[in-house]
Amino acid sequence: MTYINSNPPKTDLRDLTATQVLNLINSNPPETGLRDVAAHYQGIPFGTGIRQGDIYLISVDPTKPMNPYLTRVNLSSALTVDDYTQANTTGQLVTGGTSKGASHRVVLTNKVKVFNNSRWINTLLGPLVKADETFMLTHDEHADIRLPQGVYQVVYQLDAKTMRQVQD
Amino acid sequence: MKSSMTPEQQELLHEYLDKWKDIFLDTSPLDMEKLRSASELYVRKLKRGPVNKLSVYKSPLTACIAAKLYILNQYHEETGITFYDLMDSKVPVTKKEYNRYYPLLVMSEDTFFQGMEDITQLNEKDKFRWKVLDSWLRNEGVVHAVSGFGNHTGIWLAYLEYFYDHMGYKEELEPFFAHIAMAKASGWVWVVDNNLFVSERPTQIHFNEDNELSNLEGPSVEWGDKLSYYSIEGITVPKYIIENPASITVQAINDTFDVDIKRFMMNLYQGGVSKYLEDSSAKLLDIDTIPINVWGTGVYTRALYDIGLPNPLLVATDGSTGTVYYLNADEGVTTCSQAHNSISPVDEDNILASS
Repeated sequence: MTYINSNPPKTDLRDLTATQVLNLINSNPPETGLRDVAAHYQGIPFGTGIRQGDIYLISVDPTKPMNPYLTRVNLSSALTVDDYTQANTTGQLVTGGTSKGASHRVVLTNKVKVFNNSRWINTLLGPLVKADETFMLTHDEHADIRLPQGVYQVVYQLDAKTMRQVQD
Repeated sequence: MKSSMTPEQQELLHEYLDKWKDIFLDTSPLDMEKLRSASELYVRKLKRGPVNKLSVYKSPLTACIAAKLYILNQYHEETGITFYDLMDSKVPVTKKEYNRYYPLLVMSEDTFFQGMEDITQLNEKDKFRWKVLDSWLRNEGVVHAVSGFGNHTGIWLAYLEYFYDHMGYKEELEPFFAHIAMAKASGWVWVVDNNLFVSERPTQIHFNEDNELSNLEGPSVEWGDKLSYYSIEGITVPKYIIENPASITVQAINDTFDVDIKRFMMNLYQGGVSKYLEDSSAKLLDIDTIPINVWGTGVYTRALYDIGLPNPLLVATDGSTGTVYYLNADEGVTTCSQAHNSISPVDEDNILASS
């Protein structure tokens, strides 16, 4: 059990009613501004990343298999950047129609490219972002995120009940 | 031909977009005189001949079905082979024939007309047929679309008309002129030979302030024959959750996989999310507050509930939209952090920023 306030008197939050909990969750105002990761990091450590809605971009070492960074993705053999050969010309990171989930998008430039996986069929694995310069991850509703150059594997959030990609 | 736009040209483009938005949202009955005139232009362009027959239907579904029945009847007259023969695969069907009859083959007659009420409700057998045939057709490289532009595609045609009128792309865009005329005069249209099967425009369309299809009082789009779609915030939802929210049950919510539809159902549940949690005998396992960015700006609060099912429910916002989501976490987790880690590819200590 964790506590919101570290100063006494501490309140055991298990006593909160559902309405009180929901009010607490709704009490934090949304932060709509840019998440400028690139302003804080010139390159982010391998295995770390960001979340935008239900997708994650994880920094990976392009010279090695990515498996150690993706322990929750069920991979039966080594996954490397060489598995990504199909150019994604839209920068769209989630395929599928016009749903909101489909609007996570990398702003492409000559130095920022997205590649789809040509080998694996795994519903949790998304495309690969190869960025030789700072780039923007945008969305119609979620706050934009600016990331430093690097190679990023897109991974989708898991629904633990069905063990499938969360669907929205 | 121009390769850049002045500020004035960009402003004028917005005027075209506004004009076509009005065309897109038009719910008035079709003007038959305008439709006939546009149809002649359209069919001459597509088929190099005059219109044979122009038929108007109340919705795109009935227009589409009429077009497909026309194809089937024509085939039957030519060959004597019936819909049921094709359905049961009693006759060898060529690739060309599949191309023409595929839309009919994938639905049984019952489903075909049930589709008048809800085209998305295919039974398991038909879903299987659809998948098999769709896969076969894709492998064969068969293209089967016969539908054309209508007012619903207006927002794309706005760009074509603007670039035709003001940016010097006359020659390149001339082939689209007939489509533009048709979209201004018509709903969705199907073309078979020189026959046009045209849908009326919707009778009602509802958007929210974010320009998403949305209506909590009834259908977000409806046509004259009551074909309708229900949407909240741009997401298609089951009809009953809007028409009869009192019938939403805890079981139905728990069985819903799509996180957005689940969220809408919980919000529309009688008494709201708090009542859903009460009715689920939910027990609060954990609640915490974590930073949105590791450099310390902003926080969000989340909670973990045991709702009497193997998978606890993580209740959290995303930190940027204010939307509250309800996510199935892994069995056995007891803290919010464990719950998040069970649905994330990496531990949350390695997440530098969230939005």
